[in-house]
Amino acid sequence: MKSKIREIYSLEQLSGRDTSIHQLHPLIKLITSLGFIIIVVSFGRYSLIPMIPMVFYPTIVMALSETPYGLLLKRCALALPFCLLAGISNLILDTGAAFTLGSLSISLGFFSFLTLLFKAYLSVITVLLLVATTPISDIAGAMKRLKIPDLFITLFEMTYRYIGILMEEASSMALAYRLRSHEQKGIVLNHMGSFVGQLLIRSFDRAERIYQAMKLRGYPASQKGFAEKKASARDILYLIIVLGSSLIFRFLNIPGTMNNFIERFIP
Amino acid sequence: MIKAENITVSYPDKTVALSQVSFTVKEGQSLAIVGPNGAGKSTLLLALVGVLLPRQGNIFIDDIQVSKENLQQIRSKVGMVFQNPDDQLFMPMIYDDLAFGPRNMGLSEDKVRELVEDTLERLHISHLRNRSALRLSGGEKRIAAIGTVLTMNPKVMVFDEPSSFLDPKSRRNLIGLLGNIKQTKIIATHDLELALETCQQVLILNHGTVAASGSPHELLFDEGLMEECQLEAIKSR
Repeated sequence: MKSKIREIYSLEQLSGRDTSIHQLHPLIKLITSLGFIIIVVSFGRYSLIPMIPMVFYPTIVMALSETPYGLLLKRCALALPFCLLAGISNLILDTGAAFTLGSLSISLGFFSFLTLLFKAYLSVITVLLLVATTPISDIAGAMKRLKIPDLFITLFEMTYRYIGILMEEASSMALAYRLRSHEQKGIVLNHMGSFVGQLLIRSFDRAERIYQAMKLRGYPASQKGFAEKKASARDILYLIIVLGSSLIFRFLNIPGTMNNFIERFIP
Repeated sequence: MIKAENITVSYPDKTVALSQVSFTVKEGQSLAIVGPNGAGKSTLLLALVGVLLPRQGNIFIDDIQVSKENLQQIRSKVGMVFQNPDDQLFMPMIYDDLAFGPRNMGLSEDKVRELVEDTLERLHISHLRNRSALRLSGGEKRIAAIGTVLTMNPKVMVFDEPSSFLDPKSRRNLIGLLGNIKQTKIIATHDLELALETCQQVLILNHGTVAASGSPHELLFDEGLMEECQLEAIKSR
């Protein structure tokens, strides 16, 4: 579990690099990522083919920021079970035929299921790229400039910070349990209640102490903080290019148009 | 100056944690609070910063009484370093943790930066500026946690078990650092050698009451007293 904890934070370690993507203004990167995700989500449930060009944005950012693809893919896989769970009903309920491949009939449900997976992949990878190219404190600063309430920003920062602590706590408890239960594989169901309960109580205790530490340092007062760096023309251009091209892909079916073109001019 | 007059502190479940405790610490001096587990050391520290308020008796920090009405003033004068640095380092980067207090004080970002950089340099941890606390060693976390309070420049600093979880070298560094902190200090500790090296006064607590108070040289070598208070006297002078 310790290595899993290190893995969670290893992505953010990449944010200290100095590539052209890392140098972009954090607010611009945040807006671009949010805009891109909104456009991805707005595609229709069967728009798998028109959505394919959307893959350019994360691919180009990944290359320019020198982010290892394997690292991102591994984290993307963590979201996969949730998407599978959400999309499984499409397979069952939407049984109309979309097209046939030889004797194989592909259902609309399968098509929408793949679309959902693709949307999830693009959204998750966009968020991961944002984290890999922007320090968390800069993302918090950008959220502040978007006038997101202080309470939400503090919660965001603390959640990020304490996920690791909570996992370490759970890992120590699990190790202590395993060392005294040689015969068992993992935590048996009978003990799970008290294990989770203990973890909850410990988390509650810790939360109490953290809140005391915050109060003793003047919380709650408006956190003015965060350097007010201005966005340059280059940053604005980046925003226009990414969101502009994404909107074009959204409203013009580029793969469909290309298909029609090929059919018309190439016999 | 810090003055506690016959304070009694109880927990919400009515358990009495401290009873009739009195002491005085002059400006710039250091007081070690020693005692076995459950003696009330941490409770006394929490009472000094107003997290727990005395049921009876009074605490004064520079003639300001610790009370609900004066909490803001008290907390601007007294900074507390917690036993577990993970409780104190809650921001994503060490820089933000050190900046948290000054930002809450409403200082400009330039002033905050100046304070944080000064503190990082003073504590020799400038290289930790952009690191997450999760990636620091126990010793580094402890120093950074002290930094989070030093940036607020309080008149009084209270430390809860500052040498716990530290290896000998980190502990030695910490003792050096505590010696260089000019503020009035109150240190709750089991580490009697640390108390001897950093404090001019000692208050021994046992079962929530004052068992003895005086100079470290008078008390910490007294085997009878130490045994009575479930502590281990320092062997050689």
